[in-house]
Amino acid sequence: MDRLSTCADFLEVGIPSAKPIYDGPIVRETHRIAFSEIGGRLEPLKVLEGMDKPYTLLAYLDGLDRVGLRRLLETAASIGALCVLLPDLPFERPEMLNVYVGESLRAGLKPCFFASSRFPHGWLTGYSELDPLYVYLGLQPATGVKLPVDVFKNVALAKRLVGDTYLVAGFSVRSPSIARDLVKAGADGVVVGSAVIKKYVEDGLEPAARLACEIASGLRRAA
Amino acid sequence: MVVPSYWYNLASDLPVPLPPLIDPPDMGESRIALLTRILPSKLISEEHALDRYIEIPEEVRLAYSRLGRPTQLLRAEGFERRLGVRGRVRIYFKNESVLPSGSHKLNTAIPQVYYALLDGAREVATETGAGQWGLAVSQAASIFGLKATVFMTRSSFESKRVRRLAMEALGAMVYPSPSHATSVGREALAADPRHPGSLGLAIAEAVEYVLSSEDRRYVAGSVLESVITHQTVIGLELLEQLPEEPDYMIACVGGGSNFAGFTYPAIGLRLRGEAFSKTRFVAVESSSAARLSKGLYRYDWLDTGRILPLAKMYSLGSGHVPPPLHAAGLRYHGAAASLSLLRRLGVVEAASYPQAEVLRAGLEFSRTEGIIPAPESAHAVKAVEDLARKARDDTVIVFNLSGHGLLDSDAYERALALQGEIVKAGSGGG
Repeated sequence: MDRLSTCADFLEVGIPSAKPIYDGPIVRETHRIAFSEIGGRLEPLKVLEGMDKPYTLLAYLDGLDRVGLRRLLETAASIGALCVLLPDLPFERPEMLNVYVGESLRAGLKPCFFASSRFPHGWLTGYSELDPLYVYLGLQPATGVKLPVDVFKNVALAKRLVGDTYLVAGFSVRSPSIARDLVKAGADGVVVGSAVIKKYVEDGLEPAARLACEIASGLRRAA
Repeated sequence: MVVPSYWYNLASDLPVPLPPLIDPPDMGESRIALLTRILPSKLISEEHALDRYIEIPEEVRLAYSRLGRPTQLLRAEGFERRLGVRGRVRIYFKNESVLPSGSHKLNTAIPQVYYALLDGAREVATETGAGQWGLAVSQAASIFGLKATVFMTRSSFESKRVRRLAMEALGAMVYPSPSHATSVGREALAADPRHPGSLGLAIAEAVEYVLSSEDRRYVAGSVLESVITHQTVIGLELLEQLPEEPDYMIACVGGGSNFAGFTYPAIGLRLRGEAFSKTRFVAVESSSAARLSKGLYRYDWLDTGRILPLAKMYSLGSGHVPPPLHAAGLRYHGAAASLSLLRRLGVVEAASYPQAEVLRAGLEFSRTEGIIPAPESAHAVKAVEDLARKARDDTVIVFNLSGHGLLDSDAYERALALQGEIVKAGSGGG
């Protein structure tokens, strides 16, 4: 992880899920492998304690009640994570939004929010009013899947709706040029996952780390 | 009045986010990724658009205009008199039946076929129930110079012969579904040689057919959010035409595009707190396929063949095979994700009626307004009849006459027989 994150400004670490429904084939496979190793336990997250890069966690809310959510957020805070992103919250448990915000603040975390490309504008402006660490815009319907979506237009509109809130764009960011154009469209950052994992699986650690660095440099040139 | 310049995307105004399409839990190849090989690119882009309004391409606007848009909003004065509510209840209807293919389906067939052309496709393929969608695709394909292939549910292939012939007259190739042209069709026939077909199965056949060649695109008749967005041309015109805000807006529901296209611009105004606060939105289905009334709200397959992704919707189960119906366009197992969500949230109400009552109401409407409604549209007519008779004074009802029934003589033969006006009962339908 240290090598892969050399050029990253922050890391997003996924907590393994049995049902990562918004993930594409590559990230689903990582969930499957990791979940078979550690199941739903939180103790293994301790390995993240003391990371030298700022990082956030991603977890599926599915299966978590309020008590489980509180424990997750407290654990996240105790190991130095900045927030916990719950991608299924707006779609599957929208009524939990304020609970999540309250529990995040109680644990000493900022909230961070997920949005898809077909999303209520009122929710995006509402997100920004809750002072999140960032809003994550999923550019595609699943991670690592590339459909002919006008992602730049969507990013530009999302940025107008969230205003000064930090907007990160993810799902199928796989090249420096895409990262650069997303920033030009209005994104403040990009999240790269499937592309680097795929490179790692196919070509090994160094090529994967190089790809991550190339994307990061493309992004910085545009900023 | 002119054709609108934009379609409306309701997702931008929903009170809660719309659950996205997902891949099945135990997938091999991503079904979502597969969409790039199936659907026109621009349709996929519109399916994932954040904008509230989506610009209608000029070529599509011109085709809309050439084929008869805007359609009229009419007052059903004769029907009011027949129901005995004249002076107490005012009934209006948006007349989509005047479009050349006889139904609202042309509103999305035109942009989708045009988008397929932009991708360099030479052929479009699709499914159809009663044939309204297949006919609309055949017509749009003929306008843009593409070949059309249509998988028509077998029960309709046999009972809606005239509509099938009309598709063929427009140059389309029409298969009865299940057919021997695809593996999913052959499997269904092996299991049941007398299989009546279902929309879910016909979708699976059309998709498999498209995947077997690079120069084909699948065009979707309903359910997808982008398809629904195209149909909002109906509701956007309606906003300009309505002389007064209605108490009820009513339309029939199969996959949901007719209902959604008719109501969503008004529902959007309601959700934004700008208008239509008193309006009740009533989705009318066949009691033989009452997915909004009796289905479960869950992720389910869009098609019986399980080739496409899953959508969160009210569904009777993708394997559900409703009995043959004259209103074959209402036999789909699910309802569009946004419509399902609105039903879940209580913004939309659902009602369902059996076929015999629906066709009788259709005859009543025919004999007072001079327009024979399609059996699907007659479901809305039946709901109007029920609500108008029970309504308080000064009630305003507007409904979508989504299509005419001139090519559904089999249905009305049956209806006339039930009323004892002809001796011989029609074939098909229960």
